[in-house]
Amino acid sequence: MAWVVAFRSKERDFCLKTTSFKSKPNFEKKKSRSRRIVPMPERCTACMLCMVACAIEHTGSLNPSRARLRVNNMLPMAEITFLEECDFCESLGADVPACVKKCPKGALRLG
Amino acid sequence: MLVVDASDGSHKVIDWTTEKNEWLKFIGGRGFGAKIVWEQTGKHTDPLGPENVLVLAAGPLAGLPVPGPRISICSLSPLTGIWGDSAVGGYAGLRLKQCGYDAVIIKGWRKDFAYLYVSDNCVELRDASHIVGKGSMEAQEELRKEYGNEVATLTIGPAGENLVLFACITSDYGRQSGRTGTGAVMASKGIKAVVLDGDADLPVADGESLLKLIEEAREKIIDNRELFEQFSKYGTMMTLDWAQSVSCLPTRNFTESIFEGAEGISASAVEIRVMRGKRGCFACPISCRTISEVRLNGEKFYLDGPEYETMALLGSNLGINNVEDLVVAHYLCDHYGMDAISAGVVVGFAIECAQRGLLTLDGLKAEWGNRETIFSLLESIAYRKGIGGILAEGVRRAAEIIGGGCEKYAMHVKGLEQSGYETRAAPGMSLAYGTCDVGAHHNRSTIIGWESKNDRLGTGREKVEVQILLQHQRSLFDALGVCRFPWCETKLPFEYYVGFYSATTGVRVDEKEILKASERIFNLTRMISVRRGVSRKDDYPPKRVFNEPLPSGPFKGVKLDPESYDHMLDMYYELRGWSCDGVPTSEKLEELGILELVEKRM
Ligand code: SF4
Ligand code: SF4
Repeated sequence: MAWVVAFRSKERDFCLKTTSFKSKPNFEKKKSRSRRIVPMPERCTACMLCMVACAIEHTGSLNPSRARLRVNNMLPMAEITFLEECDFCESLGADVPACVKKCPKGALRLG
Repeated sequence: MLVVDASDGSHKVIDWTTEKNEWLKFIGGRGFGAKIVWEQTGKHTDPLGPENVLVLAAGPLAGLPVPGPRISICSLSPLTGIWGDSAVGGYAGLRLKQCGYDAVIIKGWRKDFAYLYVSDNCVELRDASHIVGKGSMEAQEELRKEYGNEVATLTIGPAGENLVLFACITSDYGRQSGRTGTGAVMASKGIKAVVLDGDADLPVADGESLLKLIEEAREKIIDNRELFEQFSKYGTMMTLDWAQSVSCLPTRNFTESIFEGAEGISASAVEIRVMRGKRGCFACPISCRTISEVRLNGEKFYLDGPEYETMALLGSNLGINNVEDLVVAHYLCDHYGMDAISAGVVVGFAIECAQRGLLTLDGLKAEWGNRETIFSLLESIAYRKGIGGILAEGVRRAAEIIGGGCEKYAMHVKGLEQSGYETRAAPGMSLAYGTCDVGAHHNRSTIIGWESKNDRLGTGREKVEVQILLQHQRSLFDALGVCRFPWCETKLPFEYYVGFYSATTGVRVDEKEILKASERIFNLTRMISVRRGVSRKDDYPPKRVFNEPLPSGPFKGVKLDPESYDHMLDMYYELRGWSCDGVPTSEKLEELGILELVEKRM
């Protein structure tokens, strides 16, 4: 693939136009899981490193928009939400979910 | 690359890779900006006219999980009349790249305000009547209501709409593309905001190596425990105590370099009294930004700030000695959408002139630290009311209009107000301001740090060499499109950035080559300004630095010696391969591979 990040190559148009990554958060589903992640937005700096970690772990991509959680920079506190697809990394058999592991501020806790 | 005509919203996409080698020479970000501005504007282009271009350019690393994406916003500056650029952090660099563009170029102009919506499959000018007149953060709020919180926005406030010449462009609640009046250029084109709504992948040449390097770099940053924690906690606010201790803190319109009230506006005062949280830019573990609570007219607001520059220019430089007033002043600048550095210098200039009887302030008291005076002046500037109409032109033009010899008190270089270091006892930093391509800005070199450690008052060759190296190193980050703090504040080795670049682009370079590219950009931006009349005469720091000795502190009695400065400038030109009038020679341009490009459009 061409390295150039931002000119429109045909490949890009085809591989990505089919889905939008902006799905809606869904809290209902989560109740059935055996563990959950407790966000602590007051510690969050909205660096999105958790999103990057999630995207890498689950999709092999560096694109934070492919992550299963969302962090938005809001004032005074950032907003952290988990998408429907998030299974808290249970499917990967990981002890600690990718996002929790990579958060530099301890703003995500496994609960 | 996307080119949009503001007059009718028509646009075209340019694939720059058809001339890949020509563009690669300029890396990206402000390098691309320089090439575009060089080619698209000329000697007589009016910065606020339709022929000027506004370039939003993200470098090759922006948007990848390298700490802190930056967009460089480049154009001819209405404030200085020459090359101008300013970089903005946060998330805009990520989103622009996710829309699929390295750069968006806005040309032309329109009468009524519209905003530009860009996503990965749509480019459109949309009606902005509902956000016209709103503050820059309010406008952002409105747009987020429409498009969701994941979009990045670039907005201007009332100051921009009223063509205040140092209006800025705001992203993410107060990350500013502050300097050189980019906001006024955007306003002149009739664009109130840009919404960047992308979520696409960014292709990388060698993703695995890049990822490995990034992980390693992040660990390095965090492992440098003391620096990491301190900078994460206070960010650039730490600089205030340091500047005070080495006597270079601009105080009361740069008349002094030590401020007796510094403690009241220091990082610890901010922490105790107004800090409500911390923020980092995309993919940055550092979180150098502070969120503060602002109380204004009984209401509560939040501010992304303060940081060193605003503490110095709106704090000590205006005689404000408490953080509560400081954050209000900062908030007002952000809300109106004007550069807090220029605004601080302009207001300081006005107060000093009024005290000297050269100016009246529409009934306001000419007192340092007077909140009513300062807040009202900021408002008058934003809306160009009364005396504000003159001050909105920046100090250089304001001094011309006011007359009476007041240009002695106008702190600027090339028309750009001086940023946060007082330099009478710092010849190197004076040279840094004198020779910075956009005017008196610290972005290209803060040699004051080196000077204070090694040789404060010297004017020797080594200092000039360090100066040039810094100008190439520091400005490289804006070309790469990432924040420089992990390198300069938490000591991430420079090699990492060379590695990031190679892994991302697949173009193997070494440190020497990449610094050469940075030199190439520096020479081209110089040529843009030379084409518009800049020469040696414009490379001097403000008059005060030569005329008035420092009144207090460890360097009491010191002022800059004009002869030594001239000597340094000669050395600087010689080392750069420029003529003694400060013009890059043909040999130099040839060596950098841009002679043809330059000759074509001289
Ligand atoms: S990694 Fe942690 S601090 Fe960064 S955005 Fe995610 S939760 Fe917030
Ligand atoms: S160091 Fe600060 S400004 Fe730079 S990327 Fe990190 S948080 Fe942003």
